[in-house]
Amino acid sequence: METFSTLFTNGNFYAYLGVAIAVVLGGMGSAKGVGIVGEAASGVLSEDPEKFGQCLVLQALPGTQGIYGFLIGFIIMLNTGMMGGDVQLSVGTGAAILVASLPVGIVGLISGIHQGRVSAAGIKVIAKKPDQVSKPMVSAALVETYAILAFLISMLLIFNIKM
Amino acid sequence: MIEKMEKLYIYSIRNQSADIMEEVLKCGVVQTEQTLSMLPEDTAKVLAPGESLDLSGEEALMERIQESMAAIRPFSHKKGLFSKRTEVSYEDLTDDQILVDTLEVCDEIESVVREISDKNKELRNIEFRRASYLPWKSMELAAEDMETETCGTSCYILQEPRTIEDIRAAAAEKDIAMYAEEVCSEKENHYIAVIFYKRDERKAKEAISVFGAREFSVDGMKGTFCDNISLCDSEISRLRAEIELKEKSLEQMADRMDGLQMASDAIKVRMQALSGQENFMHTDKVDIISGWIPSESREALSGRLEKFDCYCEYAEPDEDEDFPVKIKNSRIVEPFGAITEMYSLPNPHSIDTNWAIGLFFFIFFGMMLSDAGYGLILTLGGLLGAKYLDVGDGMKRLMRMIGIAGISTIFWGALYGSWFGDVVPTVAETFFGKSVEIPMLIDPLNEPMKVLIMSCIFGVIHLFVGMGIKAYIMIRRGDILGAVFDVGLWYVFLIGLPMLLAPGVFGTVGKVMSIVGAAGLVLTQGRHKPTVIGKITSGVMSLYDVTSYFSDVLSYSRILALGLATGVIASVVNILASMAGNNIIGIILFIVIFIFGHLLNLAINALGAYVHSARLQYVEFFGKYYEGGGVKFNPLKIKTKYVKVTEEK
Repeated sequence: METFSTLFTNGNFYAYLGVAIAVVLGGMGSAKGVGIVGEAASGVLSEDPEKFGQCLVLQALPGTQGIYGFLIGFIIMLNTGMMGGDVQLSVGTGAAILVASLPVGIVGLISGIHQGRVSAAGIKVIAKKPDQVSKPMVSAALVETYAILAFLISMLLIFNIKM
Repeated sequence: MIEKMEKLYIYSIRNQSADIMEEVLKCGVVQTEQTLSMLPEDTAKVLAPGESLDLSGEEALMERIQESMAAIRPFSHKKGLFSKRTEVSYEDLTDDQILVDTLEVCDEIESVVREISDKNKELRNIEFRRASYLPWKSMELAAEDMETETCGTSCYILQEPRTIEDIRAAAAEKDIAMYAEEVCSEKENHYIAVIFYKRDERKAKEAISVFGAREFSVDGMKGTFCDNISLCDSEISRLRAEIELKEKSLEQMADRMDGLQMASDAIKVRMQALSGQENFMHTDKVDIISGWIPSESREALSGRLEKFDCYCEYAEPDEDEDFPVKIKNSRIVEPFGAITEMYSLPNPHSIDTNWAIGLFFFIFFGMMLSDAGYGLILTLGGLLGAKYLDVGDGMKRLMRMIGIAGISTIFWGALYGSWFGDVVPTVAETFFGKSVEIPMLIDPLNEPMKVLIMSCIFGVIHLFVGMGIKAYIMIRRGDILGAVFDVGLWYVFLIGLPMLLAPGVFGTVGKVMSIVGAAGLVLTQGRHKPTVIGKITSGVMSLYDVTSYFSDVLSYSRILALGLATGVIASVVNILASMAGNNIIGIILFIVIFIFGHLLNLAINALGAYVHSARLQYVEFFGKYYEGGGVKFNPLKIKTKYVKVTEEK
């Protein structure tokens, strides 16, 4: 009979948890970041709706963390066979997958929020000097570097786990 | 390369200056400057300062035109994506008749707009009146019957928590004979009509006003409230019909839009011509027009000015004088100049490196997006768009750049075997039950380390090119030893370090190189410090910079990450698209998800590739050598928004 405690000796549980962590934390970071920029953008758009395109570009930037998280989740699903529903993982493998999903999840959460704040500040540049919009974009990209590095590590780790 | 600039002084007879300025404007190669800032002080002293310019008349006219345009814009047809601006010759555009006609149109539109706004104001008043009558609807007493020989009627609005009972009680207490009735009660207000003897009028009103009741005046009203409400209603519908009629007449004026737009450009051009005339210095008979002109445009300007009585003098800028920067490059490199401009133009005494920026942007953008399908879309869209769409010059430049970078994307996509992700194998398997292999040289999903190393190697090349440019600049300025010390020794050291890891001869060579490099750096990097201790500490500390080179190189790992992201999202889209299987619904779903999914992926990752390729240039590459701070050469030239001025031969 399965009891609650058998969860912890079940490798599948850890792998599923890994998928959840990557997708949930990354998505949360991006949702928060994109949200902050959206709020700031509305202020500019109420004055000058024609700047929608530029605002949209800045708003899209903090969205990548969620995508990276989603990708890691998806790769775990592909590599472990979750898509087919037939998953048989040892505790060790499951735990490794869980740990491998941590970088993209945690860094995605934090960097998404901070990238959102940088981009939201960049919205002011659009308001005052729309021709300079590329500069805040690059500033936001500096924050994203760390999400990219985390994504890279998560990905390399998962590719190299023997299922 | 940075174009050579020369100072230009045009000495013109005063009554011809305006025509000469117009010619200069049409020529579009001179950046006018205040004469005062360009002449030697002792020359400037004997000249009279130029008049400052009053453009307020033009600005007021511009504002009127813009308001008229805003009034008829909702009715004028939108310009399509592929429409081009009408071409007008300079003479036609500056014809005074345009402005005369436009003033008439403006008058007409403004009077209609004013009538509409008056009518709207009236409409709001009547609507407000109607709303204030509404609560009294059930009162059947006509206004003219409210006052009889002995009795008067007043209407009051009483607020909660007071009620009609308070009024009745007060009347009873003060022994005033009156009759109060609540006509209506809504929300917090009680609408109360009170009848009293005229002789008690003052007392009665005082008693009621104690409760803070407001009297609702019916002065000038005739008939019952009901009558008045329907009167308002008919008034409102009359006004609405009139407003609609006026808007119709505005709508008929929508075809004047083209004329207004042309006039707006005409005024803009006139203001540009006038603004060039500001701040001429002059003597009694001669104006001095001054500015910067690229050396190669001298002939063009002189030719145009031949017909005037003027003399052009050209002078080279002083050794250390800053001049406006104009960069000239081949048609392929030119669009990538936008990336440099976004950061900062090079210092006029530095060099133009757009070829390197363009080359590496080309490589990195392609590696990051790395999908041949997306590359095809970007190349076709960018290059065709730049050719056939009438968008601004800046946009055309961006499109051309994206188009060129798309070619690199096709190349890397083909190398990775990625055509819209793995759409060909997926379609073949889902709909035709066959398995197809796309040829590829590298599979980034299975050999990510290979791509990572390749990315870092490209990074090292990028950094070394940057350092090489630094050395070139130093050598050009005569500091050959500095170039050897600051760049050469770093080359030796940085190449030696990774060779240490290699076995055999390479390892030994690496050992020698890194020791020689490190020793050289320790000895030379403190050479500008005054004291011996300062020299040694700076020398030793400079070795610490090796960590920054290390992190610079690792920064290029983003090329792999972004490339993987594109590829994996693309295959996720394909998986999702083919989920419904091989049937009619499946095929429809496939097409829909395929189009939207890949468009989304292309948009997000093209943006990412663009921003991160630019970042690699700004942070890693420019950090090695770049000297910015140049001011862009901004010649006085015809800039129009709605029409295009035909170029004269």
